[in-house]
Amino acid sequence: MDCDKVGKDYVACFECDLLIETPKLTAKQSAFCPRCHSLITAKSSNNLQYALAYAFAAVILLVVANLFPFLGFSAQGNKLTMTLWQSAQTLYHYQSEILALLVFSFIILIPSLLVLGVIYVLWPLIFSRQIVKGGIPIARALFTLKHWSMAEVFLIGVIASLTKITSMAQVELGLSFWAYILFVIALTLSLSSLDKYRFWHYLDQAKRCQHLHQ
Amino acid sequence: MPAPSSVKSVTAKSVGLQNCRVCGLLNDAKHKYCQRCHARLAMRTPLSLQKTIAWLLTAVLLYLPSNFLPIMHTTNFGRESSSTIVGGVILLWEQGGYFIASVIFAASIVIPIIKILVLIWLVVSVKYNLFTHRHERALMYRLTEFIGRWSMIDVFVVAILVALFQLGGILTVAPGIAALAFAGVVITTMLAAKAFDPRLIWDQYQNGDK
Ligand SMILES: [Zn+2]
Ligand SMILES: [Zn+2]
Repeated sequence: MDCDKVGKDYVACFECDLLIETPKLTAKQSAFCPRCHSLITAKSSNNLQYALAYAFAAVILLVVANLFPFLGFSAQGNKLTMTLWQSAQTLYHYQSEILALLVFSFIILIPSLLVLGVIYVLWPLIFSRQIVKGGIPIARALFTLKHWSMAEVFLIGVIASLTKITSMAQVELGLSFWAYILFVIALTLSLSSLDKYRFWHYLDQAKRCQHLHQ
Repeated sequence: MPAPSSVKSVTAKSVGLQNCRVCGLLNDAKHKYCQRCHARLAMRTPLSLQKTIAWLLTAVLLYLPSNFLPIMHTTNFGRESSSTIVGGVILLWEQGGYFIASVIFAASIVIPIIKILVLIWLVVSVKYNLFTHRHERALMYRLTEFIGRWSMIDVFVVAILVALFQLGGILTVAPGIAALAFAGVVITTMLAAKAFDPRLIWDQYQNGDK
């Protein structure tokens, strides 16, 4: 690699391009850019093992969130329930196909791709120092898709809708609703532990190991 | 304290290196793709300002219908009524849901406008080489990027109400065209923020500048 010297001793700030001495991976404090104060890397207690553990929890919770009723209510003698999946699917029945697809992507598809991707890439990286097939493009996609998961925004939307209808109906929160709340927490913790800087450095180390073994 | 120390404001660009925006590897200027993660490289995002403006224009065009057309149609005992985003907020406020009404008002009306104005300010200040308020601009950029997704709340409210009342018979809720337009506003403003390269704010920086 032709940039080896600079690449080892310096990194550049993502937001202002300033060259900065490479922060230590074991540092007890987060490193910020001295010029624009953006985050360079989170502190070492925020490590990749946590990202993997939380991702596992998130997968289980997401499965649970899709198995049971999400919300239910009774009004004028009628008892109705809806599932998480139906919040996107019903839009489809009203000829709002694009909207249905967007809602489905933001609250179910992208969040599940994220947690599955984290597990797929991190499991072999952490336990056998291996980079899986397709690991690099998937990791690249993870860091891009991260901004398009709106699971937590959806939760606020649920609370807002409940406020809207409490005056006309008795609302029951289903098992899936609680599972989805826990899923959002696990997903957020997993993604915040997936530090960009730290991740790519572990990947580099794993790559060096693979070369040594060949 | 392991805070990285600066090297007299030397940037990667000034020594002929391109920082990969995906993985943070410093690549030699001759490379087109990152040597580590294979992402497309550039010293600065090509046509960053033009792309930002293009997405912003789309956002503004979608913002008008999203606020003036109905976001949902309610049928109650055969009586049909439609409501806009603002109408929904006012109704909630009258029902006493002050907190949620404020949240939806902020997310659906205030935040999109602020985001659009901030991005215009960022583009104009870079275009005309304004050298002041760099820290404020950097902060506003970070805030705009962070807050982007939170505007989607009202779209999800429509999705939930539609699903919840689908079997009702007595009361049904159907999505309005503004729901899609508003989702478009959120997506295009997010893309506008992504298209803006924050490094442009700092490119003319000299020690001692604010
Ligand atoms: Zn910086
Ligand atoms: Zn890269």
